[in-house]
Amino acid sequence: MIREKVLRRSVWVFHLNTGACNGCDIEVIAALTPRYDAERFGVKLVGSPRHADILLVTGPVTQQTLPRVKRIYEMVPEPKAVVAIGTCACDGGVFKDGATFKGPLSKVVPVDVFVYGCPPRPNNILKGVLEAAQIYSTKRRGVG
Amino acid sequence: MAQPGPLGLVLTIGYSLLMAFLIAGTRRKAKARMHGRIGPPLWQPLLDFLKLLYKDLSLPSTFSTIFFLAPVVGAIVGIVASLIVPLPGIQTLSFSGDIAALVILVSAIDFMLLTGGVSSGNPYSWVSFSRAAMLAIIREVFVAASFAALVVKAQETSLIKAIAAVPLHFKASLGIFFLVCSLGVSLTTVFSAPLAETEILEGFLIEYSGPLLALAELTHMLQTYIVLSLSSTLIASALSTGATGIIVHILLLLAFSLLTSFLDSAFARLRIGAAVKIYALLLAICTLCVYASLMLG
Repeated sequence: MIREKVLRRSVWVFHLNTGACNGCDIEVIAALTPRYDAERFGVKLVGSPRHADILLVTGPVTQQTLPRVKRIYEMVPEPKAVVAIGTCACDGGVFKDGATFKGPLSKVVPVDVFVYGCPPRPNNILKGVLEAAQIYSTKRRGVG
Repeated sequence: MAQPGPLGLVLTIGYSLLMAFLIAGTRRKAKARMHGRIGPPLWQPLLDFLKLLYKDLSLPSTFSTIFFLAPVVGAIVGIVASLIVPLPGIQTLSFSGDIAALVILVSAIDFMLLTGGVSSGNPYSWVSFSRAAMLAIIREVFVAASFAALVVKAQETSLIKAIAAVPLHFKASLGIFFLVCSLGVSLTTVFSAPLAETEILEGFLIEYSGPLLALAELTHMLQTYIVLSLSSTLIASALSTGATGIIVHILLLLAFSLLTSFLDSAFARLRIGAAVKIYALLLAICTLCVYASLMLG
């Protein structure tokens, strides 16, 4: 009970761009600006995946970024959650038939929350993060 | 001099930890209010600390034993140092030469955090190490000089006895010195080059995770509390608050947190060269004031 509450109220996010057009990244940053005040929910942007609880991934997974995505996912300590942000991360979007496209994010790492949109609105991104916080707070240590 | 019993020591540790979290919480809350936001609750640093304890460790491939031990030893050193800091109206640990012990313990906290970070092998940790070491070395020189003035003035090497023996103007000048000192210790935005989240990604903390990161953060919060508490105790005792001393002490700590939040919001981060120069200049001016006070009699 206490564990769940603590994990839900302290959410550190790491933002990873796997080759997005930058549209979703702008909205991710917008979601973390004072206008939306994500910090009131305990949400904080961190610079190292080792500090993170939730991975925010934008863009399609490409040949170049595939090993990096896997490595960064492994660096985030358990319990953790992944949020796919934008149509490209969720199902490939316009990059679906590209030569270097290696599949949507869910084919590479387990995704907990999908936030569709091209780009999604900042309030939807924040809602996705809070839903992911709810999910990761119920996960046990050492279980993916 | 009478020493506190086991219960007194536990209460002092509890008080120190509570105030360390409260200072960090007040800073974040006040900063948010200055930005026109609601901001996190006051107990957010405690929630972050507990959350990190629930997390697994994610270790770099190049980690060493020092990487493991540094935050643990740092937190222990921080707790021991917080026992020596005098509190108005409360019996804390006191012995001859505790002034020197406090200087060494506070420096040891820096040493442990930086050595642990560097032993991870991350290049950003090295950058952070050199920046933090520059600020720490400058600070230690002036801290040693100011404490030397206190010892000369009071003819005492015990902190509690020395503070009681010096005149009010000396206490006030030394209190202001430690307040200025805390700006570098707490790595306020102006002097935050060693962490620089957007540039070197929290520097020496970059490879820490889970419980080790929790201990490293706690150690840093305790170090900030120790320096601010010294300042607060000196100013509270200069105000001759008597029995209400501890309340004044808490209020002063909160006021200092608000001041730090204002500085965080009002000024941008300085490049390390400029930060070192300005920090040295501020500390030099404050040390001169302490020595002027010493001459006043």
